[in-house]
Amino acid sequence: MSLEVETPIDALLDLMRRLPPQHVQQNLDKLVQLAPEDAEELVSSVDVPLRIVKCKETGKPYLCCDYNKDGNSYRSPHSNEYDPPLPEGAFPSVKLRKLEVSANEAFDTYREMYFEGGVSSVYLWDTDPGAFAGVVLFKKRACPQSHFSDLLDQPSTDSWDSIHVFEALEKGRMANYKLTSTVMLTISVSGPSEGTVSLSGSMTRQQEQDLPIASIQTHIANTGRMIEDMELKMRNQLQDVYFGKTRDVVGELRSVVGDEEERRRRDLAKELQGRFGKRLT
Amino acid sequence: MPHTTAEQVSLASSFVLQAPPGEVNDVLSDLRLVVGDDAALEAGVTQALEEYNTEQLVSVDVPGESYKMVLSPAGRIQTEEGTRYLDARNATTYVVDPINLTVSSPEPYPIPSSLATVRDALQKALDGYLARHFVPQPKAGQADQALGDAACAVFPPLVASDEDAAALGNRVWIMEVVSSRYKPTNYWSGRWRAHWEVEPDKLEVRGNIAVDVHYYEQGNVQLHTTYAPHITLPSASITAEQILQLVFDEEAQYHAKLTESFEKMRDGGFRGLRRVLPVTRGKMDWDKVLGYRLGQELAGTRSPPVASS
Repeated sequence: MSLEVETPIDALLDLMRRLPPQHVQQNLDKLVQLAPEDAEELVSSVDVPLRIVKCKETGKPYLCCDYNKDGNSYRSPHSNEYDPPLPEGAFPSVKLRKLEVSANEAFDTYREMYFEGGVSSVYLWDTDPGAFAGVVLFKKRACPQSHFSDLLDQPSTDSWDSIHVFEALEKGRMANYKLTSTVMLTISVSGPSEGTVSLSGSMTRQQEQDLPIASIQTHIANTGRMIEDMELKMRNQLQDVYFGKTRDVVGELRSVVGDEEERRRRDLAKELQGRFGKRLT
Repeated sequence: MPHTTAEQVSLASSFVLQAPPGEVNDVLSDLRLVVGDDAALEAGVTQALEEYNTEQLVSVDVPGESYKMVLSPAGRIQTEEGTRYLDARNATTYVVDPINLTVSSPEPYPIPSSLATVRDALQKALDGYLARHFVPQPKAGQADQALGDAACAVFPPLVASDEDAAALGNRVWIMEVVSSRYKPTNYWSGRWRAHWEVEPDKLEVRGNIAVDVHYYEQGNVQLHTTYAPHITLPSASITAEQILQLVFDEEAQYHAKLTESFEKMRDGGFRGLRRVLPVTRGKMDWDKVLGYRLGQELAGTRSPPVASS
């Protein structure tokens, strides 16, 4: 965190990098109250767990983020309608909407294969001629492992949220892709012998690639492969940080090696006690 | 919408209390930039900082002593002039600046001898445990050590005389253990806190262990744990060393359990959220995927599109 913090917005973003991810939404709401003049920039720069809503027209679930939002309405990728209705809202061009429909189908297959559940949504928008941008979203939730019979003390739900924002720029038979991926992951476990253990956080990675294109549909395969590789890489890194590095830090705070020494000493004392048949003090 | 300074200070205080180990000053300097009224902010968050310091068991240097003094709610004494903190080892209270943590104006605080005997014995035993398991030790082959320290303290019931001590309904000695490490070069910080309430008259020791870790390389990942063990003492005449043995057993068991929890979360919850690869063990065949969708709709069957491996 060696970033220069000089302006209020820098400070607000720095705070979000320090405050517990377990409470990201509550803290973001509080920061918006604290600095209303920077609220818009702050909210658009901070990723929060995705919200699932039901499409009024099709009944299918979809995910909400800043990219399908206009005013206070969210656009459904299924119906292409805003909820609450917003006929004057921002819509992709006819050509891009067609691609968006295909992309939603393709990434829905990907979602089923990797997440075996959850919800996915893809939103595209026009930028410059020969260019467009998009976001691919996945969310999966599950109940955390708990051995408490009292469910009132249940910690938050386990969840994976991935947000892949990309820009595509066509250059003849090639296209340049810039991908920024964020994964938010929350995992917890609780029980009488372990208390509560909660791990939560987010990780962001970027990648840029030039790939050949045959037709507009090729963009789906190209971004699909990039996102697939990125998620695999990030899944491994998250596993390493959450369950490896964090455990190692706990080991730095309290030495287990001392335990063994202690146990040896205790065993020796027991042995002596047994041998001499009297209590050692 | 304009906000009053009082509202701003109350919001700022809630952020101070959530600061990760060793990062409270960073949180404060961020808040200074956001609030823009340093004087009001500092005056307003003093209470939050005092709460943070005692909740997090922040430990401070005592002039002329080699150990660190632990700021604990059990050693906090409110006087007409403000808050003072007890260093029970040398029976002295101090004023502690909540921001820069300087210690000043020592005043003697005699501990009744009937309480001091037990306190000193517990302190000696706790010091031994701290030295064995928490004080940073140089590791073989590791040149770049983490910063940080470990400290502990034992507080007796806060009464003025042996008569008052004898009149006490319940005599509770509080033991605090805190171990913090910071390694900015590797983007992490962490803190282990243990709070133990020893009440021999009730044959009881009540604990609270909390571990916090912040990992922040290109992200923000935090571990927060709490565990509240309960120990039943075999007899009221148990020695301090024996009490510490029981406390040690609980903490060691908890540490082992926590290590297990990481595996449990990795192999359980995490694996259940997202697979490494699809069931077919191959990546998706993106060229086929759209055709597959179409085919699936026509035939009503399902065979996932995967690249042949």
